[in-house]
Amino acid sequence: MDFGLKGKVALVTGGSRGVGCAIAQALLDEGADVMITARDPQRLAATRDRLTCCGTAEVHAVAADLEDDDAVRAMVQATIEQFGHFDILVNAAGSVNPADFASLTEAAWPALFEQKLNGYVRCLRHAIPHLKTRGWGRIINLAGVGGREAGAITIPVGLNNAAVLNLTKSIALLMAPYNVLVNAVVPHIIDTDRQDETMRLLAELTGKPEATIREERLKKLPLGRMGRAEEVASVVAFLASERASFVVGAAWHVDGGAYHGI
Amino acid sequence: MDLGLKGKVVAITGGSEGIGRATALRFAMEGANVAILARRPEPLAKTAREVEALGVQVLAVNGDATTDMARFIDETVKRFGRIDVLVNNAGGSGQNAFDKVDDKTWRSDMEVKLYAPIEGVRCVVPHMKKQGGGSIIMLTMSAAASPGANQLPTVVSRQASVTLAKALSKELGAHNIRVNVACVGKIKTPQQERSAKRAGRTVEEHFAAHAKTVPLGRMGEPEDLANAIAFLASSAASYITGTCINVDGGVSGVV
Repeated sequence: MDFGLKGKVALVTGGSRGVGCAIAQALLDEGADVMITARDPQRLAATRDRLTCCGTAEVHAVAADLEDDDAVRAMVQATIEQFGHFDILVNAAGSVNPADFASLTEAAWPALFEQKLNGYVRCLRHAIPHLKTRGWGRIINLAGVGGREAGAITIPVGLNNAAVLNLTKSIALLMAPYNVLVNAVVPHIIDTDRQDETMRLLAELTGKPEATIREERLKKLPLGRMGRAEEVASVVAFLASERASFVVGAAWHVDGGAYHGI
Repeated sequence: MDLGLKGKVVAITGGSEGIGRATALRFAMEGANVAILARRPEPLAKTAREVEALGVQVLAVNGDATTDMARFIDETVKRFGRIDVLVNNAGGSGQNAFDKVDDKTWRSDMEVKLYAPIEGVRCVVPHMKKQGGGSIIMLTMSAAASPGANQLPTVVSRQASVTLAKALSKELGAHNIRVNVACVGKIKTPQQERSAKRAGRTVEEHFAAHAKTVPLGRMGEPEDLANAIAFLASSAASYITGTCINVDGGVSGVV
């Protein structure tokens, strides 16, 4: 299927590793030019060098801390300067950790939404004025099943992802008249370094061995296995494509059937 | 993106016009062999010719999804030796107030949109298990998740198939059989053209009125759906199961 992405420009946050990196590769494979961004300049540069380009597609990198609104503005500006414009924003940056409610003190609470939501908002804030002028655009927000299903020790995960899903619908309605299609992808338990960290954290928080945590989590997946980053990336690439021209304000789960609702 | 559909076998009910036809053509463009079931022989033959012209094999079965599903699947497997994808597309969208829907209408609606897919699943699952996997797709309307007044019986039968898909995804996941739902919005189909006629307005007037209610400002084309269905059925969507994907121009009130 020709995704019609040749000549399009995508900005992928969280692009230095895991799912973000796989998304960058999938978009490059379809012929899009890609700007990857992440906080750590060394890791980002190493990823940029590792990504392979197809045909005339190019990949560039700009480091940015999404907690800093000025840095986000500069990141968007750098993308426009590099490619002349951009068409696709993929919000894939954010590492939300599970936490015990008692640890979420008055002082800790404001930082909770810095783990994902606020970075997404800043990227949207600076990308939208540009995307609005193009007559064609895509925004894809990576969320998580935690946004649909609450857990006792997953409050930060749940709140950030629920907010991202809600925000996705609002921005979708806002941007539909400009032919900028906004959607969410909802992955769950994807086999990445980040997933290993989550497993370790959950083991610490529950006092259970990591192997037990892993086994319990995998048992809940109807497909019986973790997802691969590429399996999320292919869905993001489709939603970014010309072929998803009537998909608006939707959340496509890529979760191996994990979500209990439908 | 190579969707890995080359040489796969896809069975589509209601495959002669509208979304079914566009889906058959999209799968054919991806190199899949296609079996289609439809009630009216002429549109069926026409679509079959269009599919064949794309260089794949086609099986056209004249029949009704409510009575001929077993024969359809049987003939598909006999012809192609396997079945990889079932798209349960057959069904209309009768919408009325509760007191205007008689028992016969309730039953016939459930027959085509719930019992026919059940029979289809019953028939394909043994083959898919043997082959090591497959993909089953139900079609519903995104409005079924947020039902309103005067939308009976369709929102009930549609939502029933959604629940069926979720339950099946849990049972069949271990066999690598994925079950999903494509949720349709307002699409320009011959069914909609017939609705325009019933409402005493031109197709253009009908489509323009509907377009106003869609955030994207237009009705969808059958191809919009077909693209999403082919993607969902493909190996590129290999970690998607038990979910509804909305393809509705943003019309659904819920995300």
